[in-house]
Amino acid sequence: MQRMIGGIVAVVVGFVLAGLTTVGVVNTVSSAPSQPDQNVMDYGTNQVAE
Amino acid sequence: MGLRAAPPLWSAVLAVLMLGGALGPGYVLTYDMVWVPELTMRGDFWGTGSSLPRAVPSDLVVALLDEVVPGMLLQKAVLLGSLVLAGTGAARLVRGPGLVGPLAVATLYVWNPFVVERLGIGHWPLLMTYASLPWIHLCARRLASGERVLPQLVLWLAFASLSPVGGLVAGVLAVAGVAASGREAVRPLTWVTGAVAAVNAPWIVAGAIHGSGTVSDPAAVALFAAQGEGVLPPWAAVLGLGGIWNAEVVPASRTAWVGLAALVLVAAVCVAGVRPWRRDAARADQVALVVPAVLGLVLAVAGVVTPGGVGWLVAHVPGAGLLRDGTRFLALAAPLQALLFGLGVARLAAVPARTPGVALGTALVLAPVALMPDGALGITGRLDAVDFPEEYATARQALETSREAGHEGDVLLLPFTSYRRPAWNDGRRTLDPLGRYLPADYLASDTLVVSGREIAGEDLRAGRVTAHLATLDAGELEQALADEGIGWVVADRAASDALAADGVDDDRYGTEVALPGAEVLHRGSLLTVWALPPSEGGAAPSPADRRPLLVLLVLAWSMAAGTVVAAGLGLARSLTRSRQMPRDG
Repeated sequence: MQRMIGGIVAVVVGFVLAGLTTVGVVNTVSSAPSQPDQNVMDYGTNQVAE
Repeated sequence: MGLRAAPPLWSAVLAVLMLGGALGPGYVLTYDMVWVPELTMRGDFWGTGSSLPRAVPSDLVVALLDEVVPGMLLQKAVLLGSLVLAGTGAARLVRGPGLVGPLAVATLYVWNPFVVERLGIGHWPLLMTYASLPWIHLCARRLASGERVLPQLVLWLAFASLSPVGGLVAGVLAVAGVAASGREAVRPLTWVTGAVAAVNAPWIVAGAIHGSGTVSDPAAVALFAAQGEGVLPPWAAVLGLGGIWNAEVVPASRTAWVGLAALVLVAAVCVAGVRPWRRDAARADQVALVVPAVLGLVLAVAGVVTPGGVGWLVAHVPGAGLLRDGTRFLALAAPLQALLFGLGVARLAAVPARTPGVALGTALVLAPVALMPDGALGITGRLDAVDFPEEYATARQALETSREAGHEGDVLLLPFTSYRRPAWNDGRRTLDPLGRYLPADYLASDTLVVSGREIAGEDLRAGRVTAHLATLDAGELEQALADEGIGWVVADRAASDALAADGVDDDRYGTEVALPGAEVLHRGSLLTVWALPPSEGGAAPSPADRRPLLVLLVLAWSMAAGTVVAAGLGLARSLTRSRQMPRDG
């Protein structure tokens, strides 16, 4: 029983760690540069062509 | 049952989380992914058209399947099924007890930049290939060790070979998987090589009958080469299974410091997985994954390291244009990376103190998602499904009625540019969906534009039509188009307006085309459909006139279909036998 509870707690801790990482990444990404300018004819955009 | 069900269930959770709004009502239209309510079967799907057979055999397979399953459901089944199959198959690469390893493999194999970027650019046949790679590897190894699994392997190869690059990737992994066993596997190797050739025969032969049109513009190599992502140079982005040429489909998390953190973490865990893998896996199993992975990485960076060399190949060797978007071949490195990641996580989680070990294992299993959270919810809304405007159905009906009245020819799509950003698709870029939506063969521009730089297409007829649009007017233009085999012209007014707003009004795009002698079949707020007067001089020569080559094409399709049917019958027979054996025994 104790082993099972320990396992569940450990999984929850793992999820919390991953959740905190996700929040940190989302915060970072929201301040990241926006998408490159897109022309209507383009198939895509990259630095080589610019 | 409980433990065995965990990887598919976990893969399904990841797939639903990643696809998000793509699973809602409607169609996902993103870059090269265009699905329509009903894809009508037509001659070009067999590879007889004037353009390169890039969608052979995928268009034909979809056209057949959507006779049974509506296109909307079929698209969702393909996307969801591919991701679930990918994760489930990858989890099987890890042997032994415990769930942490298999779940970690499944997570990284489903949730990585390759999958997100290829979903974003709409390469769904390549994702089907990707999904089948773990299964192909496992089948190939079993076949090499003497098990009778050739039918299964052939069916997986067929599933994986709906596009030319997909067929090559799957073929390389299958052949490497069997060849790794050396001389003792010569016979199965012969069978597998034959099966790879057979299932890929339709696009190989269709490409071959286009002759000189199968070489591509070498200028495209640099544009389609691997790109750096954020602080990562191209080689590092490629090591993390990213580096796609198109910055528009790169998740924002890859362009921030997180991309570097993700690469370091995955690399470190993979290093931890090398030791158990070298200890437990047979040498042939290792070779079967390492050789394709190295090849995939080399091809992925070839356009960066030696653009001149790849450019020469693309310009002179028919079919070598397949190498220009080299990061597609990164799929070959993904099974090995995911396997090492899973073994590494299992090793790190197996520390003597159980609770911290399980916590660490859980966090690492979730790490690929946590470090690229913008891959979730349809890549943050980029894959949201939409409905086609009602006017599309009206235009289709008008064209259908004209065909039934005996009018013939192909549809010319104007403006003569490849991609659109329709407002009804939330302004997201997509290959012009009208061609597939309408029920006849169509001619669309195959000139690509990357950041304003044009890459010449390979379709000689499209080149001639561009010249006609640029130089001819009214009756002369109508006759020239009819001579090219065009029976109808469909103009997308919103797309023409968008080009004009961007300052693009060159006559060669046909944005202001006037066809006074043509019959207007439909004129609406979005589309105009004309029926051209019939040609007076007969259609221009096309590949369809080369009968001996068409016989080859028929043989190629027969070979592919025959191989798949034979494999299906073989599998059914072996399943029947295995069910009877316990009863007999």
